[in-house]
Amino acid sequence: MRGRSRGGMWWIAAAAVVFGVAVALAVAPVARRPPSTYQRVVAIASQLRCPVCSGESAASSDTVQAIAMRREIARELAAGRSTHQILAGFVAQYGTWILTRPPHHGAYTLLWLAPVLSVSVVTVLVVRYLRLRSVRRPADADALAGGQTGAPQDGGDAERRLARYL
Amino acid sequence: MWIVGAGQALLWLALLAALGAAGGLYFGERAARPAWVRGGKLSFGVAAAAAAGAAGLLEAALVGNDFAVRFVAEHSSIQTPVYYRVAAMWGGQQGSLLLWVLLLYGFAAYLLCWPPREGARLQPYALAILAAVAACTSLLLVTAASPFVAMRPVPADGLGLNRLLHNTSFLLHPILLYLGFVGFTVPFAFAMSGLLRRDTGDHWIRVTHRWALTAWALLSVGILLGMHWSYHVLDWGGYWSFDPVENSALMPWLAATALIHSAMVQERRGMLKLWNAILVSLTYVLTLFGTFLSRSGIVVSVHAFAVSPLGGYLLTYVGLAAALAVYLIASRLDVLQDDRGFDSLVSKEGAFLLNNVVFLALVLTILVGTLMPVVSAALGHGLTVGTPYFETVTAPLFTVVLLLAGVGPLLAWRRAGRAEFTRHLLVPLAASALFAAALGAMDVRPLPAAVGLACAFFAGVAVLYDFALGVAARQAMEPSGVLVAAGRLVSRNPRRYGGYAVHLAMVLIACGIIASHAFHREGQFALRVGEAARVGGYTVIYEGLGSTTGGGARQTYARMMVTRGGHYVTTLTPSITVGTDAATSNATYIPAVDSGPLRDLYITFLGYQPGGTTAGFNIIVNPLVSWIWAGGALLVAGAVWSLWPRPQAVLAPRSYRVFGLWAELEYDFRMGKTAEPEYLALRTQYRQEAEEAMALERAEGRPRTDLERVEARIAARAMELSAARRAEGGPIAPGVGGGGSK
Repeated sequence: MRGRSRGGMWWIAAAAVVFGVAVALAVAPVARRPPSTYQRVVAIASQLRCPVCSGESAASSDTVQAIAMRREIARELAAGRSTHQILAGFVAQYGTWILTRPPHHGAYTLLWLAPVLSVSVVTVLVVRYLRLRSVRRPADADALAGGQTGAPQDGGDAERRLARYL
Repeated sequence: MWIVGAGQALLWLALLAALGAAGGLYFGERAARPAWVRGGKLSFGVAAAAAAGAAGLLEAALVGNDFAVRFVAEHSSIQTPVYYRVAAMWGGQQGSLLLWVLLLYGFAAYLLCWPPREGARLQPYALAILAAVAACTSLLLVTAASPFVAMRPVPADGLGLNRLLHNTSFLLHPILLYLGFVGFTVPFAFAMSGLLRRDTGDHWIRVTHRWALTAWALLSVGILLGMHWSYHVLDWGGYWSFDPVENSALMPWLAATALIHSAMVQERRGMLKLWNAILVSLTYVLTLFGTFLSRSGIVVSVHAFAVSPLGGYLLTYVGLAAALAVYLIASRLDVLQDDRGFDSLVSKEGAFLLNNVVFLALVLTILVGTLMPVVSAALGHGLTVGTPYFETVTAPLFTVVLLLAGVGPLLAWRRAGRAEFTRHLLVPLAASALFAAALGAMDVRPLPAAVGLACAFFAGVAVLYDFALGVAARQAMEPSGVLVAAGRLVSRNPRRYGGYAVHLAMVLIACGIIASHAFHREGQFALRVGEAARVGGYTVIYEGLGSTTGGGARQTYARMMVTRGGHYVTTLTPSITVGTDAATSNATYIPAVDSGPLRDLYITFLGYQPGGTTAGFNIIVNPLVSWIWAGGALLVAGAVWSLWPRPQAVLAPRSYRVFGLWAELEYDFRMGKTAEPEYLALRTQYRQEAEEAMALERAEGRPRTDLERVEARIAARAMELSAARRAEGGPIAPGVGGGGSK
């Protein structure tokens, strides 16, 4: 039976691929269009803090300062400057404080290592837990070695009950 | 005026009755005095009724426009539509705290009326802990944030409800979010109750897991509704920004996701007891900490309530809950010993552990990012991190989550045969490689988005493939049609296939988030009447203005005709609404959205020149956003299905676990996940364990079916009667019997 059903499994996979590609094809016309200048401005502005707001980026705020920053970004984009250069310009003017995404050097590196450090910390905890708390019960090892201990007396009862769980 | 006094009195009554309940239940259970426990339960009922009465009074004041109550004057007005007046209760700090307390009492009332069938013994202590938590929050309400404060002089009209809250999602989102947050008190209470009783058997994890899953599902829906609200009401076309308050809901959700997976390891295999006790406490403490973050005014957020005196109280509660958990866990380490160790890390248990590593790492990462600005400000640096930071650091971890969502279901319990596991990976891996190649051929960029989509695709195919294998295995056991086999498979294994539905839901949500985030196309335009804008292949023509007045607001809307390739698609009417009362007089910009299965058209009306000859618009074409909401619906269905009652667990509490494990083994073997020698050895072992457990159940006289239960009851009654008859006509002398106290 396994050989036959496995053929069916490939059909499922094929159907999934056809579906996935169809969706991708339908979305691609939107995705492949180059972003408008406005969208590029927003993308850059979202990496900058609005200097007079609380917790808003220059992309989402409608304060005079944020609007001025977006105009400035649009002007610099039109002048052919790269995202990197534009951000560097703002940092020179306001300091690294202006960035919503901290730079990759100095003490900021720690922030970027946060996910790596977090994974390490939790992994160490899990490994320690497994070492300290998990004991292997000898009975399990026996069973795995194939030790058949004592023929069941009313095996049929258990089998019948099992059918309710299947 | 009387409402203020009566409301405050009811809150005091709720506080005192909850204190009484906590004392009665705890000491009654401890000293084995059923009368105290009964009194405690009664007192808890009184407290719940008092809280309900207080909430009813506040609602009456809101609906009846009683501006003598300060909360009503500040959060409602005569012109606020009546259903938003009802919802105004959770439109402000004090009222939403009352809702919070009310929901906690609601959970308690549910448990009082319908004690859990699994783990009923744990109920008194669990209720005592719930009562203590209820007393703490009631204390907060009475002292620091009472909604019942008089307003003098009584104003003629109120300030009104914030216009952004005038949305149907607002009626539901806070309730579900709070249900989720408050709901985690219940698994915490049961977990701590088990520790207090040193009673950490199967029923302990079952009842804790069930309630954790319930709260998790409620919180998931609450978060998704919040995203929906943000998307349809706030004018930025997004739904998530890793704002501190959003993070404070996301962190407990992530911790709970870890918990509902690792709890399964304990339910099936009796492992990770200590780990689960820690996780359930962590989740609960994170909900309290999240409440502290959003209500204390310590973090800067668009959602945050005004600066309030609640911070100190809430931080104290965080400390108390953490201290209780640490004390109980540390002093009960002996009953938290695992039954056995891991056989192999290449197993379902191993996948669950890896899941825990990733989800807890996500919690830590987001915690660091959220607290960074607070710590930095305290040190005088003023460094903060924003949305782009969170997106960058969490994306790789979420990608691993997607991969695990596909790999986990393919692995057998205990030990997956390596050859078998590799063979199972083949189909989904080949399919996703093809899909990835197609994405490459279409030149889909940016690359991380394409990788994310391929991973989501892998998870989806893996889950469906495993389900198909299960159906085939089911047919091999009992020949039947595909649909019948699928139906039986799903109905016999609600936990597993409910979980699969939730995994598929996560795949849909991931696709929606990735596609809308990476592939949306957006433009801002100033259009004259009749002029067209082009965005993402769509042409949008501004046709002119219109306006309506009603519901305490004046609405100006723009008619925007959308076409694509010369064909008419739809007409959208984004609007600017200006309210006529004080709180709503600022203009709000309500976007118009046309949702399709593959893309949303999203237009915000930014403003117009007098007469409307020229108007400004923000137009977004947002792919696959509706998949997020569809995923939400599937998530609810899957969660409800997993929570479907399992009578076997109650009727056969001792053998339930081994039979479940045995059933999994039979499937794993027939699906080709477990090698034959291993299957035979384990099968022998499980049969033996099952028989031992069944023998124990028989010895305890625990009936297995309703009929057997009735039979047992009749037998017990017959024994009592015959014993009584023997006592009457027995060897006891008549004189002794007559002179006794009876």
